[in-house]
Amino acid sequence: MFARWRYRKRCHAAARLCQHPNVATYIREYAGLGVDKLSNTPLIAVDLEMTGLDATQNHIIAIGWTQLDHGRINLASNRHLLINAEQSVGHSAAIHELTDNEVAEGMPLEAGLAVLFEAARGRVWLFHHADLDVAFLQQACLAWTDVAMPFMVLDTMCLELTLRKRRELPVHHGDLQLTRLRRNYNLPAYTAHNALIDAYATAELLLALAENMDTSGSLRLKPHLKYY
Amino acid sequence: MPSNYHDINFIAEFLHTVHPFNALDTEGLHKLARTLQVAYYPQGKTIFSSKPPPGLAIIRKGAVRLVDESHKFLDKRSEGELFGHDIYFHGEMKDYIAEAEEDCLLWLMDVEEFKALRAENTLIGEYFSSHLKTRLSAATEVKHSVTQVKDLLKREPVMVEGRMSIQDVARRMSAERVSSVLVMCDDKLCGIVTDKDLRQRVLAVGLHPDTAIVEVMTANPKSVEADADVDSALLLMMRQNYHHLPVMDGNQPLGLVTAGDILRAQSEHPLRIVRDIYKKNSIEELLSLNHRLPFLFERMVNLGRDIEQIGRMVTLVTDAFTIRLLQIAEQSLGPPPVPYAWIVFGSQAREAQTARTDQDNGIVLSRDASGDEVTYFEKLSQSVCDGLDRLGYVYCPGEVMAINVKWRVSLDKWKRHFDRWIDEPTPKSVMYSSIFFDIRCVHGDCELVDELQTHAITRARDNRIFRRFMAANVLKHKPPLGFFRRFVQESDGSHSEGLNLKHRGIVPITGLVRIRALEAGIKEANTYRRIKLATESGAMNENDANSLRDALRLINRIRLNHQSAQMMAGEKPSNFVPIEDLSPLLRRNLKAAFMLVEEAQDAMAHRYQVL
Amino acid sequence: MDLKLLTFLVVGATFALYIGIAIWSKASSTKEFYVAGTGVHPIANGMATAADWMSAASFISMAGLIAFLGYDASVYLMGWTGGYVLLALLLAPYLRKFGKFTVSEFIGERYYSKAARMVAVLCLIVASITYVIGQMKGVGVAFGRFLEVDFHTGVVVGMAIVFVYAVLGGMKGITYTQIAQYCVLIFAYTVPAIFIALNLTGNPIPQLGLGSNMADGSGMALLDKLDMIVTDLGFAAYTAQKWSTLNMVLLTLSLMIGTAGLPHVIMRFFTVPRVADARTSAGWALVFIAILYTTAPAVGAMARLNLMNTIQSGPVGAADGNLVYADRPTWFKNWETTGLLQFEDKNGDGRVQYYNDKDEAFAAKAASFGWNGNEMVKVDRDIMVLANPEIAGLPNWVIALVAAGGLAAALSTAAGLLLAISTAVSHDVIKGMISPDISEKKELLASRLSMAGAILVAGYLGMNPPGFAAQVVALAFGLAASSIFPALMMGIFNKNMDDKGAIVGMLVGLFSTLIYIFWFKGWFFVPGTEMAANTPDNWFMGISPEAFGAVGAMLNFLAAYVVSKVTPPPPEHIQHLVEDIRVPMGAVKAARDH
Repeated sequence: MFARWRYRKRCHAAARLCQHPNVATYIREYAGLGVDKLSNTPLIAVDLEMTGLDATQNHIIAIGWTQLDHGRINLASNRHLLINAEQSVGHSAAIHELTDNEVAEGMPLEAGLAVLFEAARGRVWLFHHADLDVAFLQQACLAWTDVAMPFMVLDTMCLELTLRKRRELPVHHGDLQLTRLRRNYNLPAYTAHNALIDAYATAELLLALAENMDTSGSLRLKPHLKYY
Repeated sequence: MPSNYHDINFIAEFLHTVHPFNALDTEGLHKLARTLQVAYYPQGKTIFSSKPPPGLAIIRKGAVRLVDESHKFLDKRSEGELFGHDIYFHGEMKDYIAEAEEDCLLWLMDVEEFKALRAENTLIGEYFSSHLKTRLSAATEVKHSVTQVKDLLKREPVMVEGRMSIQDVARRMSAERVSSVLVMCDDKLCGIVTDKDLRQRVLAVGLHPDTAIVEVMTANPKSVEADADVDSALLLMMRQNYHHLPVMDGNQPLGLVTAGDILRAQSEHPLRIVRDIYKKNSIEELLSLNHRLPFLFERMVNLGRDIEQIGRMVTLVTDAFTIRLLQIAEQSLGPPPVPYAWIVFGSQAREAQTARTDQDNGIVLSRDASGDEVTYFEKLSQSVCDGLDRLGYVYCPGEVMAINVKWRVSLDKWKRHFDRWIDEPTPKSVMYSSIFFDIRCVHGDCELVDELQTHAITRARDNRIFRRFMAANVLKHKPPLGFFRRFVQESDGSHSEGLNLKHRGIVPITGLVRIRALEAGIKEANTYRRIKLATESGAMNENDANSLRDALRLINRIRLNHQSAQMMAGEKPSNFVPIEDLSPLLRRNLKAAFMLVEEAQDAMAHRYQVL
Repeated sequence: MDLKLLTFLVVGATFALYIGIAIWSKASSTKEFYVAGTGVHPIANGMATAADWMSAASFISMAGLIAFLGYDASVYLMGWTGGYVLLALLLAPYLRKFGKFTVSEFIGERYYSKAARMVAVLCLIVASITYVIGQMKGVGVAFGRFLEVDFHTGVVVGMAIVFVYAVLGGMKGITYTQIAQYCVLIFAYTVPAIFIALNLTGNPIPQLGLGSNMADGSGMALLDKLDMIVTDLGFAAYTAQKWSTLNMVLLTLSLMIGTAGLPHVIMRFFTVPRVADARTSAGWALVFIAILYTTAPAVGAMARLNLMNTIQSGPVGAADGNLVYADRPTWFKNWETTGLLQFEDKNGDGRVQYYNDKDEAFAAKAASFGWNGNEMVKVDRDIMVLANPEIAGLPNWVIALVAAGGLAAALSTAAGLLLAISTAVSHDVIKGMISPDISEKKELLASRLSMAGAILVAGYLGMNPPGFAAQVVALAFGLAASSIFPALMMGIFNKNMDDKGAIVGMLVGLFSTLIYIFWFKGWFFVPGTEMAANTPDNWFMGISPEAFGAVGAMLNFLAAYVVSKVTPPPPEHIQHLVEDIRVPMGAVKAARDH
């Protein structure tokens, strides 16, 4: 109940502390951002590819996102950025199929973040399993602007969990994976583990979930927000 | 911020499978992808009920029902199909409501973007145009993206003046390191000279090197236009046995193309087999080529070649086998005692063969044979027909073959055959006429055939009573549309149900066109060229001609794709295509094609008063 | 069962039969190429031709004409039968050899002239539409009676049905449908005739019954009895010749030579593959036509006898010798609804007097009976065949059958003619002249429109017909005779006939005949516009408008001959062509071989 209030306070604090004038503006905007129904709330679905799962040790190597307006995904907003990480891609290459060479062609992380935050202005963040991605983003922002960036997030995994609780359905291991969920909702199969495709896939999943959670057509988002 | 290729590629990949967007190149697809928005509609939800429709929707996943205001079912659309635009339901444009029949993921384009897209891209504009024929035409056009001859040109052509001496030309050729040059007279192409010409026409006969080059060149060479597709260029070369072909832009030569250039450009060109056929010296050796044929056919279909060319290429292979067998037979039997022509009928004559069919052939002798001469041609035809049978062109069930003594007669007797069919069009005569009026000479003294055709076609042109019998026969084969224009499936006896595309699609069209060709006195046998010539001569209205041609193309493409798939699966190719095997879009286009055939038949029935 | 319901059932059943056959034979075969279809047997083809040939005029109207005209009407029988023979033997084989499918095409080709072709098309359209008027009259009578509405409404219903029938086209031209139509038609015609003949004379064969003695115990021959009855009432004797011999000869001639110009019949000779088959079918067709034509005189005479006996039930002049109007039979009432039978009680005695008040001697005598003029003010002759079974009191199913037969006759002929008209307009006129590059769709539309137009014109004129159905058809034959026949004959038999001669000839023939007809029948058959009363006294040399076609043909020949003499002869190749046509097919081949 107080999460939102605490989030606002943290936003104002962070904005004050932030050395980066643009970022400070974004954070201030977030503090005042009203969130209502899916049909009138702008969102940005984001997915990251990392060299590992530890935010303190590993690096972001790709960022993909797409924007949602009026309950629809805007394909023109699709972006996929490669990040030039200092650390070798290593074993993770087997998963995301990005090689060191390709990664080396990418842009510096800070430049990438600048583009991302510009695209995310005034938009609620959307992730599938937000914990991991947000941890990496916060870590990266800390290095960039010296502030612990507050995030107001919608998480499709949590939405699914809520839905299952409401319908009293059991949850098994692996049930909440993006691909598995999408299959359940009869969404098309995509190649997993490309940051953009995963971000887009998450966005599609949100649309399907929202229709399942609220048959009247427009899900109220506020109760489902998470704050970091 | 420049967006990179990855941003939209996975969207474009799907669009590429959606008709008609498959006509767009990569850049076009990416541009299109950026105009789209994604929406999700759960089962049972109304997607829109507004008038006019709100743009265009591509179904990425799921299925949509289109219903009218009173909720009556109009149509169903599924993955990869479109709605939202003006839709013609059974030829009539109606307002409709779209409902999600399953959970649907849709890619939407708003009205303004849709308008812009149509304006920008004529092919797509045509596809969405209101006109049935235009739509059908777009549907058949979209598929073939054939390489053009000009894409193969490597260098500027070397051109010399006609008055230059042979020696100067030879020097120029060495300097430019080319094996052939184009000879120009008054800025117009007038000849071509190759290394071989210099060898055979100059050195071998000891001609003086100061002689003007015009004396030894091959005058007035055949040429192709720069935008001709490579297959037709290759066909021309193979048929006329040319090695070099000038490529022209109007009157201006752009370069030279050789058969080698084309075959190299397409590493496994189907027509390589034709060259190989001419290298074989016995029926056994020819048989060794046999296993390559199914692959060949499948390759041609899948390469997305112009549908008109596939039939010609397959026929070219048959022709090559026939000619080679005749040459082999002539070698062993000695030169023919009487000038003769080997003629083919039916689909081989029309250059419309697909999977291998039975053989229909005959011989025209310049005069009646007697004694030993009879034996000669008996042996000749026996060996060729047997050879063809062993190669998979099985004996004709109607015995329309050169081994049948009835179809191995003199020009005069052939003329009398035709006279009788025309004067007394009994059912049997009409059946023969529908086979024998499609006639083509493949080997020997083709002037005999020309004379025969002139005779027969003039008589048919002047006899409307005969043509009426032909028309009545053609009209027996109706497109497979029943009441309310539903498809009529049928069984071929082996329990497989489907649309008989040959008897109810291709046969009616070739029949209609044959009659129009007879009306105009056209000798050509190929259906597409008949349509073209009939239009040029004014016998056919251009719109009617285009409709028939497009319908034939579409039906042929569907049939060929089906047969190619069957052959690859090791099945016997059949003309029965089950409706379920066709996507809803293809079904609609096919139906439109059949409707055009029906229309043309109605007009024919009316004109000849056969009802 | 109620007659009306029964009629609907029988007519419906026959229609279902035609449609069923059409669908059955349209179910297309998808046989392989090498299997040839089978031809139609000459007997079957003969029946189909007979159905085509016998129109409403033959079925409904001819016997009616005979009933009232008596002996004179026999020219219709002779003319039409003769015409068929003439066509089959004299013209069809040559035309066929020429390889042209329609008469206009033959004329266009033979006279190497588009103008000649157009004139021929014009002549054909005029003659064909006139023919359709006759069919409309017949259809109107049949529908009027069986829907129990007035005649005009009957015509409108008929127009609609003919249009649908002809546009669908599906039932026309399919030989088996026509065979069915023939069977229905001939059955419907002969069955009532047999019953009536049996009733009157005890002989079941109507043709023989006509010459037999009455079975009423009087021992009188049927025709003698009829003569007696009609002369008693002041009418001319049934078996007497009333027209001039010249008129009869000319009418017969017109009917004969007109046949050649009518498009739907000649076509029949081109739809069989071999000339020999065409001849055999023609022979059979003649047999099948003869069945009806020989029955017609019997039907006519017996119908007249029954009618007279019904109205004049007692001795002439006796107070109770006439039918009491209030007690009139149902058929009388029903036909009154259609307006084709009208009674007016002139002397107010409540009884019906039907006699010839034009005959002055008898009129005076009648006045002494207290009769005040003929009270049957209208007796349309076209009702006779349809009313005949009712008058004779035959069972209802026979009556229903006759209705079905009448419709079969009218529809089969009307549809064939309309098809020919619409093809002539859309193909010859529009595609041939006005717009050669017309699309097929538009060509079809034009043909439908011209069909509808022809039906409207024919329907309108059918409501105010210039005569009884058979007479209207006779006019059509006259027009064809005067315009087309001479051009065909000269095209085949006179190699020196040129385009100008033919064109002038056709125009002279057509317009002289047309004007003569309009003079007595009203301009464009519009009532009230006639220039002189249509009576033998006014006729030129006593030639009736129906018979003038033969005169028109002579004028045509004459004009063509004169013009061709003063204009250059036709080109060489045409002359050869004409010589070629006349040589039998085998001979040409033999000549070519040597």
